[in-house]
Amino acid sequence: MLNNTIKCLKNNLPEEVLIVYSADETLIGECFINNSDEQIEIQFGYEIDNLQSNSKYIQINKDVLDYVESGDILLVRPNGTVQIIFSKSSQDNVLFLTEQCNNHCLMCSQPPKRKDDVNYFYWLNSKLIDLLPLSLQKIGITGGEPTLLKERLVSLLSKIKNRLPEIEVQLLSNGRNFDDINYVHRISEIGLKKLLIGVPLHSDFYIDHDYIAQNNNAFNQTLKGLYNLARYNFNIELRVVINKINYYRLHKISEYIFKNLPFVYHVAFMGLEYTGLVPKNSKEIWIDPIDYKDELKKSVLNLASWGMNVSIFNLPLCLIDESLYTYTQKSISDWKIKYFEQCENCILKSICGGDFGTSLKYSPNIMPRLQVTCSS
Amino acid sequence: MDYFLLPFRFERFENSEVLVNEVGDYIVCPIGTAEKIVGRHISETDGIYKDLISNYFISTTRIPRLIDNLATRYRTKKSFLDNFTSLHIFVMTIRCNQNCLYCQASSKENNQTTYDISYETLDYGIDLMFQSPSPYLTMEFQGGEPTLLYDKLKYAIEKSETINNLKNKHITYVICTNSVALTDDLLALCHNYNILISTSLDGPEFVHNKNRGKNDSYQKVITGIDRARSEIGKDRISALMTTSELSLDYPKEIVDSYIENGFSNIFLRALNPYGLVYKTNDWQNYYSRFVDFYKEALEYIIEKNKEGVYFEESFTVLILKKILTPFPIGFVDLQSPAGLINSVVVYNYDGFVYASDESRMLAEHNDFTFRLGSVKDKYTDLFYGRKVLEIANTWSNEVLAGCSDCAFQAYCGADPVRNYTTQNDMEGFRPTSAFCKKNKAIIQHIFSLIINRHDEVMPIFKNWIKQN
Repeated sequence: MLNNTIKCLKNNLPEEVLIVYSADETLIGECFINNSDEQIEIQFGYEIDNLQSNSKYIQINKDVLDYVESGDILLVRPNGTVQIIFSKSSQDNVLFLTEQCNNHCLMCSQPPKRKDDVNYFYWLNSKLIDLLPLSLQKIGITGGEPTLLKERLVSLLSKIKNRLPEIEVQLLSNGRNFDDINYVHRISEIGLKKLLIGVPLHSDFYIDHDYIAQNNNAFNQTLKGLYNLARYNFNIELRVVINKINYYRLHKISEYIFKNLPFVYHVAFMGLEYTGLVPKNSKEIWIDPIDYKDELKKSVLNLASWGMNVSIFNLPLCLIDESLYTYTQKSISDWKIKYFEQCENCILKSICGGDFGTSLKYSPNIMPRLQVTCSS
Repeated sequence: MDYFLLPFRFERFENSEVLVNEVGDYIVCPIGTAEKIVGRHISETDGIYKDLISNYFISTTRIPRLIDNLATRYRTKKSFLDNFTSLHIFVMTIRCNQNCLYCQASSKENNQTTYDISYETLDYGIDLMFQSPSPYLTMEFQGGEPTLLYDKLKYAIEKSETINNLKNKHITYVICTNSVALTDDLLALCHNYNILISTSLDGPEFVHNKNRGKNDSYQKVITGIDRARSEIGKDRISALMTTSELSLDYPKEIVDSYIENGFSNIFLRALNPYGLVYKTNDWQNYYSRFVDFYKEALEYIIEKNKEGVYFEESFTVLILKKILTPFPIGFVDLQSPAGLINSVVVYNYDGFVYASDESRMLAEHNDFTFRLGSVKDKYTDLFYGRKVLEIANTWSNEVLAGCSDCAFQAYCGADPVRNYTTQNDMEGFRPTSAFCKKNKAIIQHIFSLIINRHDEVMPIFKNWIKQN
């Protein structure tokens, strides 16, 4: 989402761009495209005092904002940058709550920052929720670690529930703050009907998990958190990001999940995105998925044979065993998917989720499945 | 190496050690591992160290930091206790129209109505049943042959239905019948109240008839089963077999007869030392032969499954669920605390309440040790009375010598009635207990299948568990 940033520098605007805006504050508004005069209007749901123009509208020429569609919600900063923070046509919209995290996972694709941004993002997302279309089916909530907003996460979730009582919410969290049962209780009281909480599990062995999360208390807090969530009947998605540190215990992790976490709604085994902190920790963390092919097969089939709901995210079909194809999901967001030159001839391309376009390195074993022809 | 031990037990067999923790999770490892663990000779670099930590065998802190999670798992395994007594057995009569050689219930001739339950006893029994805190009740009618008392069956069910209009419990009705004389009225009753029929089928014709002491029993039972299936639905009829001494020689034939007759499971059930068979057999020898019989039959069943026939052995499924899953099972013979009183109670035709089905069988031999009182007594006096307190001292295998340190404790159960019957006190003595020997041998056999023939048997076993 953030990569969609479109910069319209105030001091250096191309001629055809018209931004009638000069305020001290950041603004959020819904955008309307007027095809007749080729202009985009961003309409704010509230009064803006400092606008130079008398109107409540900001006008931006359509050519520059190629991506913008009617119904998108834009963020306009005082410096003139405009960012799409909600795309009407996308299935992957998220509320981004903070860049801070209490873990510092070695393979984090969006490395956390220290700056206290909680007030800002709370304000931003409160406004954003007010503008979300009433027809919206689902929304993600992510960070950083969203639970660092503490009570303000509860209030944002309540706001969502009030505006969109039927919406499907997917909250990504490392689960550690759910070790406080009172916090879990308060989130439960909101009464969101379709809330799925995605929690990463790096290992069944606490030292491995803690090392990957770079925190000494991560495993214990997360596991307590998961039990607290289960006590309140939350839908939980466990996410196992496979890397060089945990892959060799993958089958044991799957058995641990069945024995200790059989209440989870879904288990996702996920490939690494070679971005964020991964390049820096490459030696320790990166592994070619082809090297854990057998472990992955045993683990996925083990959970499936227990009747658990299991999927594989982020791995192209050529890197996994054929028996696992039915467990794969096209999990990479549309705008991030990458196929390779060699994929053009692959007969599986249409059902393959591809690889991350954002990765800086790929498995050398990506190769096409070619049509078998009968030669006479 | 510094670490703390959590409760676990171990057993050696076939060149390995099986370690089992407090919630029934196991680790298979080389012989000598338990000793190394206890002697603190396991180091962080040993492969097994991580397994021991993550599966709650050892801990780096005196109290494991995830002890609450372990407690939740323990509570889950013991959650069969949550609702207290759910199975309420009404022994309608001990009259019977068959004459089984191994009868455990001391059946009487067909026309002696003094052995029938009275309406008054039914009323009191039903009233007690509804005082159980359990939201799920199973009302099971046994005998003798309960279908001989159609009017009283109908009365008891209709009365329960009426009371339940206020109580709103989930009631399952079960009639245990030999199926030789299923009348239209009875089947209509079954149809109306969605009653399950539990019948007896011992195997092929010659085995079944010999066991029954009749020439035409098999044909009648099969005809009865077919009729019941077409009248009330195939899934409403289940069959139980009892392994007589004759049966021991015919494991395959017995399995085949179940498959041929359209059943998808069999419960290979050993004789119990009660009733007519009591004192007439050499039990040690019988149980050792039974284990061989069980193994052979199970092997044959596994073969059948590999050929594509879905067919399960129910006792194996119970044990497998205990070994392989984090979930509890509801089978009264493999519980600790025991099934008696906690899960099952018996209202006998004689007007008294007994701790279990076996308890009332003892009473036929004038032994009233497990009689809790009269159906006219108060609920609290019966279920929380002195008798129950006394039995409670021995109803947990966690506190029984020979069980408390047994690796298979989590998979087995306590049975004070059986101990008392076969070994003269409720405590029992494991080294000479045939029941212990049999269960241990079977659990060990299942383990060796899981260990030695993992890839071959696990898909079948998991499939069985999933269906249950």
